[in-house]
Amino acid sequence: MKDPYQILGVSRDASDADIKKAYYALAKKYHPDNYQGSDLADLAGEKMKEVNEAYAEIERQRASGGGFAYDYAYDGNNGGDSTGSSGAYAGTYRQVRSLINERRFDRAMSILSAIPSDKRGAEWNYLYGCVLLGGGNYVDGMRYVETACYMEPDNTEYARARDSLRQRSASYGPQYYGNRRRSDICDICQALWCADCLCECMGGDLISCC
Amino acid sequence: MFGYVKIDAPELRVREAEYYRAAYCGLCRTMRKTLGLTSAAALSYDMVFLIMVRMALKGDKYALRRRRCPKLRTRLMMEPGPELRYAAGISALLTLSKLEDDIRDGHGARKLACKAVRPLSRRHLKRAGVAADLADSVRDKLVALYGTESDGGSGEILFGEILGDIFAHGLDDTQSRIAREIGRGVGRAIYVIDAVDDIDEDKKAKRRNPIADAWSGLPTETAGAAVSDGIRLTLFSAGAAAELIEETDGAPESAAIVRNILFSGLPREADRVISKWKGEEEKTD
Repeated sequence: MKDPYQILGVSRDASDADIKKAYYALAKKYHPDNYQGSDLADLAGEKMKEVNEAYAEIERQRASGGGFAYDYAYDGNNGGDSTGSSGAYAGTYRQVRSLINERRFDRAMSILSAIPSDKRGAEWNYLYGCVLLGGGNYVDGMRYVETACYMEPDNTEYARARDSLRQRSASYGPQYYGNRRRSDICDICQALWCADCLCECMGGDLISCC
Repeated sequence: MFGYVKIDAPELRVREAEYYRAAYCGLCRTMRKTLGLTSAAALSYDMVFLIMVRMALKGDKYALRRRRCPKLRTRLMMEPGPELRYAAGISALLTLSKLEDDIRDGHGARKLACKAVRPLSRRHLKRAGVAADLADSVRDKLVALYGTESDGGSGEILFGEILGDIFAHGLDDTQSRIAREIGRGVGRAIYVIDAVDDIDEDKKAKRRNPIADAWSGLPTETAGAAVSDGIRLTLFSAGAAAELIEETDGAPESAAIVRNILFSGLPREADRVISKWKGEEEKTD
């Protein structure tokens, strides 16, 4: 399956609302009603299926948390400003990258493990890290991605992966929990009292009895 | 477990903190009543977390009652229920497994002390009535974990699987999937936190440490930050699973406590242990 984010045309750090919006727009576009009686109905059907699968996949990843770090670390292609595979194992690494795209992490891991330890460069570490992250092994995955960055500090693909992971990790913690708390009667009273004070400062009055 | 499962008290409401303490006292009472007086020596807040997760998933809420505790004080205690009895049994199972491991690998006085306590621990487990399939699976995985550790490997994944099994046992399909994901994430995270906490001690005793060995190729500053990120990402999967716990009127306190521990208490403990590691390395340098 292709990168689900690419199919929906959204970035990996898009909010859930943006993803839903993009999905609705595409679903409207490829809806079977628009292709009734057309020769292109089957193509639209395929496209619709692809969009549905991509949306379901993103929802699954975000709901379970499983594998999300891999999506943050691995941008799914060799294009853009990434360095791509090079050297004696270029073909092998290309194969591993496509296996990672297909989420076949076990197969990718066995291919990478077969490469002798003295031939394991930065790209090996990066790809191995992505495979571990894909399997939900985050601490070891971070170690390999970090090692890749350490070996090749100028590589933008590795640095971007590490930064995305750091960003994701930084979003986890008490601040998230704090945002989740439901307001109770104390919060409401406090808010009313503050609003009243502000109104009084401006010469008005929100609650006349206090 | 290891004692890293803690609440972030200032973030909890008064009634939630009270509920959490009442569960601890209730578990202590359940252990003393059902397993035997000495079983309460293995009491820990880790087991209270297990109770909270399972209660939140099932939407259960047990009554709290003021009772006299062995410390001659009256305390609010949670009334005994299936989840408290389950946690008491798991505590007995893990204690006996730990004793057996210490007997296998220990030497001298420690080994003798463990051997002396083992019959008592066996009696506690027998009284606990833990399901045979769960007890066998946990024991097998613990043996595999100790084996991996003695070969110099990390037991992070296996420990996550063990806690996943413990958290999920006996729950229905959806609840069991959520509980397994929470147990797995927490198990992996606390295994790494514990290994980081032991780095200095292991170094002095010239023992192998899975984290120190694996990260030896990178500077401590970089390694510390990356391990911290790794732990948070691991907890993210547990936190995301906890977000799927349905908010019911039955168990608002337990669900809030679970989120508090996952999103605040545990990451804070991880930060504390990692700063200690970085600090010690700086002192050494």
